[in-house]
Amino acid sequence: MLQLMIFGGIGLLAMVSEVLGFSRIMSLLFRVGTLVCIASLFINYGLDITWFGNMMVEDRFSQAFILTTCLMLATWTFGFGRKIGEDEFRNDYIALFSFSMVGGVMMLSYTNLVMLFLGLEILSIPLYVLVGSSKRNLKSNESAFKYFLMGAFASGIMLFGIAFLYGATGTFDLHQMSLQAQTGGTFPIFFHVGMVLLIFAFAFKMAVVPFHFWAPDVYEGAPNAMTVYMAALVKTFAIASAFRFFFLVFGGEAGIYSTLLIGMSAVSMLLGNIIGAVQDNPKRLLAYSGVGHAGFMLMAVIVNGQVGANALLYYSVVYSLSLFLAFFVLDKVLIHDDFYWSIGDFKGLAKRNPWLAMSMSVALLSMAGIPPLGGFYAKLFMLKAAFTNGHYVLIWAGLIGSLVAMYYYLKFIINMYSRNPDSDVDLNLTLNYWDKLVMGFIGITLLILGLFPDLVSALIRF
Amino acid sequence: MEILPNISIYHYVIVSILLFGIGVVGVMLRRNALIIFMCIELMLNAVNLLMVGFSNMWGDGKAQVFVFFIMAVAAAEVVIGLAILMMVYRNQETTDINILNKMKW
Repeated sequence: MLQLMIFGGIGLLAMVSEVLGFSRIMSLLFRVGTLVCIASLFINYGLDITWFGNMMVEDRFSQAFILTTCLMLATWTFGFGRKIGEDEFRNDYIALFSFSMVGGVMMLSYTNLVMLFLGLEILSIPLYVLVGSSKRNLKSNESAFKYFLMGAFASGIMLFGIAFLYGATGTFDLHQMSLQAQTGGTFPIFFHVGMVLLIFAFAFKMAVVPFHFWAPDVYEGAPNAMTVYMAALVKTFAIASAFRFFFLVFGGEAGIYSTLLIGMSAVSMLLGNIIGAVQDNPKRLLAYSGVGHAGFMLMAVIVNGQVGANALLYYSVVYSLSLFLAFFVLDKVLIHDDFYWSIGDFKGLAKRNPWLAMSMSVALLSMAGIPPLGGFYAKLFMLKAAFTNGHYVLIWAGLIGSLVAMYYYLKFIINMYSRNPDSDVDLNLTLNYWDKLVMGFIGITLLILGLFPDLVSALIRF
Repeated sequence: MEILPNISIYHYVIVSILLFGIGVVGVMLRRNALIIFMCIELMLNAVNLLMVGFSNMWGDGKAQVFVFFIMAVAAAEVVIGLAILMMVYRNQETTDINILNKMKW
């Protein structure tokens, strides 16, 4: 709740900063605000506090996720913040990011479906603007339009589901709904329809097959800094809020709805990675691999409970960090303003700049799940959780998906290390110390998380 | 239900499912961006109708308050949507979404 007020306050300040004449220090204020948020979480860490007449509850789950997402936001600002601070709309960007974080915090701590809906909209509406923020770029226009249409459509579906759930149970409160969850309330048919619609709406937001089709287009068109924010943080918010819903309503496995979730998770792990393997555009490739990762994270929602929460928290941190590193390199390499980017742009990157090639390899190997890096334990925790609950379909789908993913991650690495650069590119990509600091920091964090995976999971023991 | 005793909850449900279905089909099939916005609004209004119907059935006001939230959010969403549409129109001089095909596969 404190975090909500801090982010809301920063957003409002950023909107009036131009008029009141402190626009120069606004980006500093945003950074300090994020750090204050992280510090403020420790005031009440581990206590349950209710807000807004029991509509939002700050518990261990939401505190752990708010803490990690704020840390990820700080890392994002550290890596990409200079990128968005370049033009005259800097303060508008800061306001939009703050407001979308407000929505994210609401989505992580709701106990009432009204708050879920409001949080989702507060998260999404600034993002529609951010995706289209390079106004002259036709691709950016197109992706903003598609994202808006799909987002509005998904929130319509979610609202329809919420209305049916209300009709079945007569309440929006998840604790009261959980008392009727096993029988389906007074009208079980409405409850079924509502649950299915709500699951579809969550699937839209997480970009899980069969509702993933917007993701590659939107990720490709959006400016890199926005894409990585969307792919890392927004996906975490969506999956964590789905987790929270099933955790509060069913308190564990979601009964018959598990089958639907298992199907979507398995298909997106397979299909996302297989379609990813035939992509040539790096941003689209990472988007499809993101579909596969969303399928992996959905496993935690299916298994649920303490084990699932642990696995999801660790996976989201590691995945976000890997994506930050990959997109940081992508942002340096795909500098030509061509309409078409390909993996070929990475040819001989090790000769052009070994730092970039090394960082990209670390990011991709972490996503693929190679042992010393964080991605290995992330996948292991997920598979272990699925194994304990006996979902063998998920384990097979996850393993096959990871194998296919390994193919296209290695394709990058082969291009970078054993090919020669094209003759028409600049042979010396120069980096300043700041860039090296960012890449080194994220890479070493990934390694530390891989060596000491308990660092993250200690946050969430409830 | 006292005012209209012969109308059960299922009537409300069927009407709102029909409205919602028209909205969904419109989003899927129509090619003009403005019509698509109208169809999304239709979907949200179907939800409003359903909320009010259920609220009447349960005899409490929670869902009616929710309807005001939905209206406010729908207005905000349309503002953003029209701004994005203006941006597209300035660059492309049309609101037909078939030209939005720069990215495929």
